[in-house]
Amino acid sequence: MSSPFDQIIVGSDVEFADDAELSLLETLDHVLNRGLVIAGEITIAVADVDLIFVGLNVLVSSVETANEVLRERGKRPTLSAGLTEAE
Amino acid sequence: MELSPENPLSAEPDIDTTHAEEFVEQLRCVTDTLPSRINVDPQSVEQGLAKLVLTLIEFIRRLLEKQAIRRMEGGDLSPEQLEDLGLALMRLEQKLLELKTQFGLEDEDLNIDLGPVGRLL
Amino acid sequence: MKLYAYCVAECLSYRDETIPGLADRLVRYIEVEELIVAVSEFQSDNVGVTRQNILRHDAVVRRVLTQTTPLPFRFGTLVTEESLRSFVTARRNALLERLALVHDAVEMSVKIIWQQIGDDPPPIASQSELGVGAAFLQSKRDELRGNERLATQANEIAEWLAGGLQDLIRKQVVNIQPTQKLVIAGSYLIDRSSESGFRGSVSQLESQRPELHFLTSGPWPPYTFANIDLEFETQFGVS
Repeated sequence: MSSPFDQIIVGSDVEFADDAELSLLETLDHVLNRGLVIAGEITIAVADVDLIFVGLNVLVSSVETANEVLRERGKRPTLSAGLTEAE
Repeated sequence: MELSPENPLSAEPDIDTTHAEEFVEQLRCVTDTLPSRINVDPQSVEQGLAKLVLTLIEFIRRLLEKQAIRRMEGGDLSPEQLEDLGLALMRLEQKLLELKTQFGLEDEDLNIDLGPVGRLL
Repeated sequence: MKLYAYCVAECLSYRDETIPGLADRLVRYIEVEELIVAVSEFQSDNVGVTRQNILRHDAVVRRVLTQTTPLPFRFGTLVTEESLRSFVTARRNALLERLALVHDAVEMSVKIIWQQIGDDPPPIASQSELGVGAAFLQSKRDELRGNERLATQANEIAEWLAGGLQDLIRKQVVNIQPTQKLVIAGSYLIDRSSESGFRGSVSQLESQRPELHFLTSGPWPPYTFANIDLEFETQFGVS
C-alpha cells in the first residue's frame, strides 16, 4: 500500500535514519505551498480593511497595470449582456 | 564577507533538535495529504473560487456548530432535537471534507487572511 | 516548451549555468529588465512531488542564495517564457519591494512541540444515553471548551517566543495550532549575519522552558516571505 510519503522516498536506497527523514520533512514543509505564486491572490480592501480574498489569474499577455486588468474585468459582464441581446 | 559560489552560505539547512523522533512523527502528518503531482497553473481560476466558496461554507459551519453547542449547554433542546441537530452537523462536516479533498485543499488553504481583522477561521 | 521557474533575483553577477535542475535539465537565466529569473526546461504538464524534485528545487534556490537573496517561486510553477516575462514586467514594483525586504536576509524556522494533558469539562449526559448525533455534538463541545484553554496557553508561548527573538527579526510568520502536539511553527526573516545570534537566543529560551521541545532549522531561502499580493481599492470608499 503506497502512501504519498512512500512516493517521495521511492527511488532512494537509503535506509532512512531519523535525521535524514527529518531533513527531508523540514525541506518539504518549507518548499511546498510557499513561495511566489504567479496565479495572483487579490485582496479587496475597503478603508484599509482587507475584506475579500480571491484567487485569480493575473497573467496577462501584454503589459497592463493591475488597475487596467480590473477595469477590463469590470467591463465584461456588460459586454456579454450586450451580445446576448443582439443574438 | 564576500559571497560567491565558491564560498557558499550553506549547502543544506542545519537542523538543531534533541527530539528528532518526535518531530519526525509530527511532521509526517504533512506528507499524509500530499498530492502526487502539482500543476500550479497560472490560468486556473477554479482553485481560487473553490477556496473562497469552501471557506465561507466552513465559516458558517463552524458558527452553526458553536451555536448548537451553546443551545446544548443551555439545556433547552429536547433529546430528539439534539440528535437531529448533531446528525445534520455531522453530515455537513463530512460533506465539506469530501469537497475539500476533491479540490485538493487543506484546512490552511481555507484560512483567509483578513489583514488587521486577523484570520477568518 | 514549458519552463520550470525557481526564483527571481535582483542582482546576480555570476550566473552559474552548470546547476542541474529538475529532470536533470540545466538551469538558465532569463533577464526581464533588472530582474533575473532562474528557470530550466520542463517537458511534462505536471510536476511530481518526489524527493528528487523537492530537493533539486531547494538546491537550485540555495545556489542562488549564496550570492544574493532571491524570491523563490512556489514548487511546481510551470510557465511559458512569454507569460513569465509578462508577470515580471507587470509586477515589477511589487517584486522589487519584496526583494528589498529580503535583501541580505535568510529565513530561520522554529518549531515547538508541547505535551498537553488537558482536563476535560464534565460531560452533560453520560455517553451510553446518547445517540450518534448527540454524541457528535458532545465531543465537539468538549473539543471547543478544551480548545479555548489550549489556545490561551499556545498564544502565551508564541508571545514569549516572539519577545525573546524580537531584536533579531525583520519579519515573522507564526502558525499557532493549540490542538496539535506541534503547537508552534514559526518562520523568521533575519539578517544573514544574525544566524548564530538567532540560534543562541533560541537555545537560551529553550533552556528556560524544558517542558517544551524545540526544533530550529535554517538558513532557508525566504520561502515564507516571497509571495506578493495584489491590492486595490474598491469604489466603496478609500480611507
